[in-house]
Amino acid sequence: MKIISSLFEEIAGIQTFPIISMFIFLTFFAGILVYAARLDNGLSEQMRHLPLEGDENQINDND
Amino acid sequence: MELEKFMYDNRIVRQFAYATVLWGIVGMLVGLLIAFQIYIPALNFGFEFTTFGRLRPLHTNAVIFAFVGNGIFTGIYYSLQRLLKARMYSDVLSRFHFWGWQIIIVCAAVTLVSGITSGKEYAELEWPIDILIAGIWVVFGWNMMATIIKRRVKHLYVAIWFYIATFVTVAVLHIVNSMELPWSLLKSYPVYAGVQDALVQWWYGHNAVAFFLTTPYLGLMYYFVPKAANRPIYSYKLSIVHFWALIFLYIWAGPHHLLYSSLPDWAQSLGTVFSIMLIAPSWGGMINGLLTLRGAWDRVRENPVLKFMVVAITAYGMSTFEGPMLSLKSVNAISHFTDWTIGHVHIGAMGWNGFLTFGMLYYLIPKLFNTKLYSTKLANIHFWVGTLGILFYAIPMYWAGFTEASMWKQFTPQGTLLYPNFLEIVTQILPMYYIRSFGGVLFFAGIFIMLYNLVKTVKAGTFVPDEAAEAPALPKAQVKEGWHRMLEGSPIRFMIFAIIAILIGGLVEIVPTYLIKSNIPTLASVKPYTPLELQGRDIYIKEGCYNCHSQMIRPFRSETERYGEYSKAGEFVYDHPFQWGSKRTGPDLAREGVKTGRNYKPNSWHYKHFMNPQQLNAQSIMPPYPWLAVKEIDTASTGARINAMTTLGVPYPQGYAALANKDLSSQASLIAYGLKGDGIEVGRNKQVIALIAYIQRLGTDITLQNK
Repeated sequence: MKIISSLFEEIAGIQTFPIISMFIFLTFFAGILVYAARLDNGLSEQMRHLPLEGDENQINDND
Repeated sequence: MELEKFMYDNRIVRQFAYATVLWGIVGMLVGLLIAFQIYIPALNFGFEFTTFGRLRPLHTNAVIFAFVGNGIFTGIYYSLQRLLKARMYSDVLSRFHFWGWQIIIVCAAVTLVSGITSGKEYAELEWPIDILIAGIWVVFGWNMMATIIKRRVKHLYVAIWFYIATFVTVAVLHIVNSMELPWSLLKSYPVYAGVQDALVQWWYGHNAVAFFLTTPYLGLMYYFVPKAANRPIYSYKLSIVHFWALIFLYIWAGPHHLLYSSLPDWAQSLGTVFSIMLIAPSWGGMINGLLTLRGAWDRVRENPVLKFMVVAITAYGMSTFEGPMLSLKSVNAISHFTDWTIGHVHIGAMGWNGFLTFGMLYYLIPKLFNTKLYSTKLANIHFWVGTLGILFYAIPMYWAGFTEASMWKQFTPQGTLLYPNFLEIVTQILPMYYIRSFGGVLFFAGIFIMLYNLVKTVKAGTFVPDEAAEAPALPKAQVKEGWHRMLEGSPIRFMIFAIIAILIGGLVEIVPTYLIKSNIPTLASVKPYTPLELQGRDIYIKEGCYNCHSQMIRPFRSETERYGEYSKAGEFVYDHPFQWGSKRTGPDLAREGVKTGRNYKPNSWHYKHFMNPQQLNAQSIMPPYPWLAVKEIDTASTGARINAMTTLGVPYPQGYAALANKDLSSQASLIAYGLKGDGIEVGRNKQVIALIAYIQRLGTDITLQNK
């Protein structure tokens, strides 16, 4: 059995790796932004209050 | 709808909370001791189990995995049940997780002080413990995911997204970085070597910060800050963007720990760019946390829980701005290997993790014991003592970092180093070390103020082991909704998406290392270590020399002038593990063995230096290693070591394992004979001989003549 023990050498097309990386992230990020922007405000409000549900104290979120 | 009655399990929360305080005290006590050892070598006690090189990994592991680890589980077991309106899936798994984790911590402490270490920072634990960690982590994840599945709340709150991401990512990081080949019951060699090992290690190391010290604590922030302030989180939309961007980006940033090293440029640049982009999602989290308190700052003035949390979030914001700045190559050229890094990580560890944990404990303990905090005044005193502790710790470390970097790099008008003697620079920063340890004392004293306050609180209250709650069962019908809400409705789908998000970055960074030609050194002169050198190298790792000495000369004139030719990737192909280090408390050793080099010293000097460094340099802060001249080289294991290395691809001749001890003996005899000529009587079978052989080998594979 030989387990890899190796060196970095010239890897064909390695310069495209960062470009691909950036493209994947920006696409993903743009998708998330669009989704968040279009999200229903009612749902958003409901989610925000999740940890406080069941608390006896009055939630004061008007100020 | 009919309400179901159930009980929250508070016992497991209490167990983890107590363990958090206990290990916090242990981890910080060891931290305090090493803070003093660094300028009072006598505090190493001339005893192998208490030297800096072994205690520093104990400190980092104890604080990260014992203190923060138990803190994570305290918060998760408390918040998860309440956010899901469900008891934990299995009390048995909860207990198994708790005791399993504590056993791991004890095993870690015992092995680290015994010098049983893999030699990779924050991943020092050896293979049996690595397997145990993987098993216990699966138990934790299984219990958590099963609880999520049997919940009574339709959608998952943002805190739980962070918990899921933590679970899957830590599992991936731990398994990939712990790939090692055992050669004895307690020892192994990592399958990766040199540059590849460094890349995998810092991909792990950086993401241990990300997914052990950051994401679970962001989850805790998202639960405990709204609870303590009694206000909803500032923005749910921001939490979506910040969560996905954060877990996606973090995984790419590891190579910023290896700037100007022998890592290829493309990987360094990738690490830098993604680190800079990380500011946005990190600050998204900080803003979401701080703005939750908008309009409630009056409560911060009165409530120590909120005070701790505000400082914690602010420290998080500072660290996550500073981190990307440190990953800029021009800044990193100054900061790397200096105490600046130590200051940076302690803003995170003491400020973000420490203070958020303290805030959480001050909130939780009274709740668990159905009482009020014993003393708000004492909690406030703890807050100020702790804050001062952080400042007295961090500011001197930044100062020391600038001082070190500027003195390392300064030249005379004639073009020679202004401070060629490394020790002169060390001496300059000793006052900063004094002040830092004072900061540590303050921070440590704060823990005891908290301990007293919490003990009094516990005594005044009555523990509620099973807290009654009720909620309607989760309705089966699902209405059509957005994809993120669908993900939140399906924890398994959510987990898979989180894995994909973190794997993309990991794969892009790691896969190229597998695409390259293996086993063909580009530098023909680079040869495997001799059996004696290999034994010496393993002693170097055992004693934790990498905690203070780097083996990576960066391509700066200030470094090549001081240490010699800069380090090449091809020099490390047989280094399982790599030993580049991350801090220069002592000088770099990459070219220590080069006879024509500025730093070359004869064997007799090394012997005397190991036995009593202060005898050679009165101002030296290195601890003595007298046992190296007493303990014998473990020659019984030489064959196993050579065989393991051969399996990993190191080109020893066939059947060499059986002959290795013969070569070891002849090389050792030569060194012992030479020492005798200098008036030093030491047996050729002593560990110091192997260590000297290794030190004298360092950097000699390539010289200016044959590179």
